[in-house]
Amino acid sequence: MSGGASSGGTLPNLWVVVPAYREARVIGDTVRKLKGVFPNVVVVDDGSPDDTARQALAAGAVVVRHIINLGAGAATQTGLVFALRQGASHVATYDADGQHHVEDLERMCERMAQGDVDVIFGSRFLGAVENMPASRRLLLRLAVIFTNWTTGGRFTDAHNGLRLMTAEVASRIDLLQNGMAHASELVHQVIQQGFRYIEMPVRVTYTTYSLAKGQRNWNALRILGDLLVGLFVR
Amino acid sequence: MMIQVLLSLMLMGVGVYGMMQTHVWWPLRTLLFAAIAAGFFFVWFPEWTNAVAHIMGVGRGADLLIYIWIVLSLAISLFLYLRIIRLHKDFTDLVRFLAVERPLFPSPSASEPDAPRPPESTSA
Repeated sequence: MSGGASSGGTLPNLWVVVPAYREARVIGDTVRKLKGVFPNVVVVDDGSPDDTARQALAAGAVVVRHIINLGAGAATQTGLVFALRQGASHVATYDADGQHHVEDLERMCERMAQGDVDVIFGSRFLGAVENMPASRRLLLRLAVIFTNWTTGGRFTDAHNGLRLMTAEVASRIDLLQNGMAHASELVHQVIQQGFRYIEMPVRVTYTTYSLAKGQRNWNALRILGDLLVGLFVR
Repeated sequence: MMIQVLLSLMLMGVGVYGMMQTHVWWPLRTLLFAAIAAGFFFVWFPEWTNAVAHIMGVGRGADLLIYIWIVLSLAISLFLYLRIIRLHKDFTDLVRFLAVERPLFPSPSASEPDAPRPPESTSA
């Protein structure tokens, strides 16, 4: 299904959080697609040196800006804090680089409206992946194994930026991992606090842009290091 | 003799610096002064390092000093690393506070009628 008011109406007070760093080329399109369905979109500009904030603002998003670059995790947490301040009933997170699809978030909203889950994680491995390199697929599979091992969860995709949660969950999430390790940390906190969660299939489209912009494979080691240090520091 | 005078002067410098750090937790300062006193003793009576080393099960006093130095270096590195992480968290909180306190809302022309609006000011 598609169309403006329908899903926005399913969760009328939903805020969509879009963390963004140096996404001036694509953020306008991403915001316009989201705004076609969801009226409340906040882009967290993570200290971008380019035109990201202005493009997002011109496309109709609310923009909050980090004065310096902190990382995707810090930007996500800032978005959650801001959305809750606006009185959000639900908060979604959505990648800025255009790899997600608005229809998937609509379906997640419909599922959330049934009221029997607190968090919905998007899973590209339950859904469809377009143009994903084999090395990235292998790395993400290993990340899933690691996350399931350390959290006791049963996920198929641990590092998907498309998620939907209730305000209650958003208010109890406290991400200390400023970098990409926040995805595993978020999963861990959801499980630790006993929230009801499910995964839903989503489509992820890798483009030349998103692959060039995205994580380098060797960053997996850094994420692992961040998670290990995080065990000792809170 | 020359090196003993030099090391003693350096220890005295550290001691003076320690005395100036009145805000430092007193057990930590006491520990520093004890270490300086031990330093003076072993600088002027180096043969005693061998005696202490033998008690600890190490062959030579110089080896014992190297082991202690390595352990202390690792402990200090870990302490500083954890401290940097905590400072970074404070820094993150500050940046986040500034961000959410100063949101930018789209101009009415850039957005649809149901776009979010800044809250009305409550100040006079």
